[in-house]
Amino acid sequence: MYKKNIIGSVAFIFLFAAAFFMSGSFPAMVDIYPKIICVMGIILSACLLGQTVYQKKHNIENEKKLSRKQIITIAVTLAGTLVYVMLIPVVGYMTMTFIFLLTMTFYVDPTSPKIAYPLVGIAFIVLLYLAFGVFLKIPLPKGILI
Amino acid sequence: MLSNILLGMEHAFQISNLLIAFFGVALGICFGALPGLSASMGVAVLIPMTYGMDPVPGLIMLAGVYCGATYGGSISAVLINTPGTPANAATALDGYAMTQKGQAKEALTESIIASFWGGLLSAFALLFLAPPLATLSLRFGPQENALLGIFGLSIIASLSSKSLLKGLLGGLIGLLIGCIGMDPQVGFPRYTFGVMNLLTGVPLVPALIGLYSISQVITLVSSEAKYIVNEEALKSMKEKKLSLKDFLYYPRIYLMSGIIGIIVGIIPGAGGNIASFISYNEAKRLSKTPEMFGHGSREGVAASEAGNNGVTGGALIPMLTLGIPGNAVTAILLGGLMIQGLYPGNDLFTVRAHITYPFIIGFFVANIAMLLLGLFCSGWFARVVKAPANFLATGILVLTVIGAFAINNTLLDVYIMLAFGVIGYVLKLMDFDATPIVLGMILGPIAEKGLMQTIVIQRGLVPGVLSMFSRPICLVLMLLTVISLVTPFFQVRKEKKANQN
Repeated sequence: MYKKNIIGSVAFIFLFAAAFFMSGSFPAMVDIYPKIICVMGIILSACLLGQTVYQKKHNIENEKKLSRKQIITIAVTLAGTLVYVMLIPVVGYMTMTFIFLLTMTFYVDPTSPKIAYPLVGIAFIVLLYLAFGVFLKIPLPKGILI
Repeated sequence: MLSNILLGMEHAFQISNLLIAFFGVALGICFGALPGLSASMGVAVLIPMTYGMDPVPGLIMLAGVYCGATYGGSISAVLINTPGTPANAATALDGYAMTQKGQAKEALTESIIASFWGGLLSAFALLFLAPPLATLSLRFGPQENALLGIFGLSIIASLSSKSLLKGLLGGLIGLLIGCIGMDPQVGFPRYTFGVMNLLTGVPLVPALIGLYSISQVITLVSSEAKYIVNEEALKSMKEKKLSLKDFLYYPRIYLMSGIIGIIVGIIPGAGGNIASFISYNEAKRLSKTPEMFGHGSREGVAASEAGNNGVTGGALIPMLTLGIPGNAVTAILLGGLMIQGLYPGNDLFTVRAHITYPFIIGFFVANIAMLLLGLFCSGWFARVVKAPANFLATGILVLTVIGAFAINNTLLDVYIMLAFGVIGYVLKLMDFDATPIVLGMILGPIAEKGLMQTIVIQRGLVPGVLSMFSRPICLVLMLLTVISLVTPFFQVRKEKKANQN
């Protein structure tokens, strides 16, 4: 937790400091509340930094690191989701959701029976269509395809 | 009040609403039974679905998810010694021991019946305690509102069991996020970076879905596990005939634990896990066979489950009446109320009684649905724990995307949800809890508005603060805030002393 706390507390100090300086452009009265929060945030972040340094010897042994594979999995999942969301208005919700379900379920665990991936994908989009499109009547985003 | 109750029954007992209650409970049980997923995640994922529904069925569904998930956690606690939610930790102590003795079905039966009694008692508390408390909110002026917000924020201290410092810091991050948008006094845009959609602030529900669901999905994906749990225990479930005696095996325990749960639920910051452990300890203290506790005592399962389900209705009382979400689920439910245009306070029980009372009666219905589903389908729900992690994680991801989109029909909300998901995951890695951030986001604007109005009316900060000391409700709120802030320090000291001994 040592490294994470150090990085986190420094990042928080920067975040609250930036917000404090931005609040300088607010009119009188409007700036009071954010400024109070920012000052308290900077103080508490500094306390966390101090506490982490003080407890270094105890905490450094508890450091849990993500493996390289885990980091890649998280990055691919997030990037994949972002691409999926960005392509929804271009390609269409149903098509993109099916492609996303197919690729992502296979990427996370390719050991399931091969037929399960398209079957689950189809079952899921049918359920989503019935729940959101038919039952709740929410207009699903459309693109070139459905 | 009677007419409102009858009105509530008329709406809640409609076939469509009964079906929705069953559907919500079934979904809730699935969420609860899966370790790692929780009631808060279930409610967060399903809130957007309720947006397209009428308020009554939407809220009944959320009540069902809440009740179902609180009970559902006991299934995995009993069968595989893994509490589905933190509130079911005490259940695992005796429930799993019963499973090892070949009494899994008996333990599951006791857990659902105790959950039902606890939930039912809490529904009565909600029905009869909330309306008088709501009338109190009529006496609230700006000073009271400011202090109410501050009192709500002081809960963060008791929610931060791991690290008080991180809890408070999380609360401040939430408060800063709550500053985004137009200020409540003159409407000046703050931290919006020119984005028009942020003028009304960060949309609460997408942020909640991100913090509670996306961060959990990332954890699920990165766990590298094929299944959330992979246990053979499910095979050991033997059928057992249900007898009438089962329904009231421990009436005294159901009553006592239910009341403990309600009281704990009303106290903001204390959750189902605290209620279940207090109930468990009290039941053990009063039991004729305390030596059996921890070794497969049916009484232990009853106490723990009645206690944690007693919290469900209790926690809704301060949320519906004063707008103080006592725990993570009620904070998210508050978001669910708000997207339906419902705001806590006396209006909910007068002007909006046609929505609130069906919701409360729906809470009764949800508990009955939970009993029926738990008694007759617990075996099916138990199989949920064997769901493949890849399908589960990706399915939830897809559901959150369409859910966030459905609120305002804009993809911006989806991006906001993803951003909050990443923030939530990073903070989780650093041992930060999401709940203080959410409390900060919800209660910050309430506190700021009250404080600013007080300053304007009293013409200055000092006269404003001084005016609070002449108002009885303010004094009570100040006292509660001090107690709420000081208690965790005493608890830490007590725990340290106990550890030293």
